[in-house]
Amino acid sequence: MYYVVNAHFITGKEVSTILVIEDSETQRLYLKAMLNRLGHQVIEACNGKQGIKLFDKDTIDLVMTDIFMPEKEGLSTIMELKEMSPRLKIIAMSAGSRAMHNAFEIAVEFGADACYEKPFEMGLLKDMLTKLLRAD
Amino acid sequence: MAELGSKEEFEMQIKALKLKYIDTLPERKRVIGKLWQRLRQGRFDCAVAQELNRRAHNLVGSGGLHGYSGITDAARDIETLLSDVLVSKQIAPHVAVRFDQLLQRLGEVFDESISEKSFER
Repeated sequence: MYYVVNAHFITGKEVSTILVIEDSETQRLYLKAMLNRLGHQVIEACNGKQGIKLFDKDTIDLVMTDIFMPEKEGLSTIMELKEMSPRLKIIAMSAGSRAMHNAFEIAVEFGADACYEKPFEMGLLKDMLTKLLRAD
Repeated sequence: MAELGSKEEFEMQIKALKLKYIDTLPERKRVIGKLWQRLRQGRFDCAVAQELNRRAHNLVGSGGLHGYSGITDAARDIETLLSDVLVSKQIAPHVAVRFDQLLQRLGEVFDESISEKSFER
């Protein structure tokens, strides 16, 4: 399940670069394999702190970040990334659970453009990225 | 978007990740059990409860990712129980009993997933 809050302009590039911030190695590698399969380049970060460090607004087209992480969690990461690059598109991700539904709402308030409830599914992911990455 | 790489290659990657994931289950079970033992002893330790919650939440996502809905369901029940514990900051006796039951269930679905692994290879 996912929903897109704000779907206009990012890039019309054939290959986009996506920064994936996810503390679970298994989930990060799984998502990377899916994104590669969809034709995107992936930069990996295992927490928000590393994600902020690796973020380069000139090369990264979109960020996918988990919400619930150690070190620096997703919500403050979203807020900081939006401050660094207001036009950046960010997808907040989390496994669905009662505790996390509020977190999605907060993620949107903090600047997330879309929310994705895990587990990842290729069709949904492709659809969401197409909407977010399409040019005007 | 131009899809890259062959479907077979992608499927092999996903299968390898699934097998690797199953290999992590015994250690995950051990750590979760240990954290729970620590949490139920002495004064309520919020940091331990949060770490336990984080690990349960991780299993909710990763179980579903690899097609193990049993892991996701069991972990989600643990996460829900822990979210109440984190609010009340105490472990009532009936909560401890429920937690033991959920951990046992989680252990069982882990074992089922591990035993399925031989068929995956």
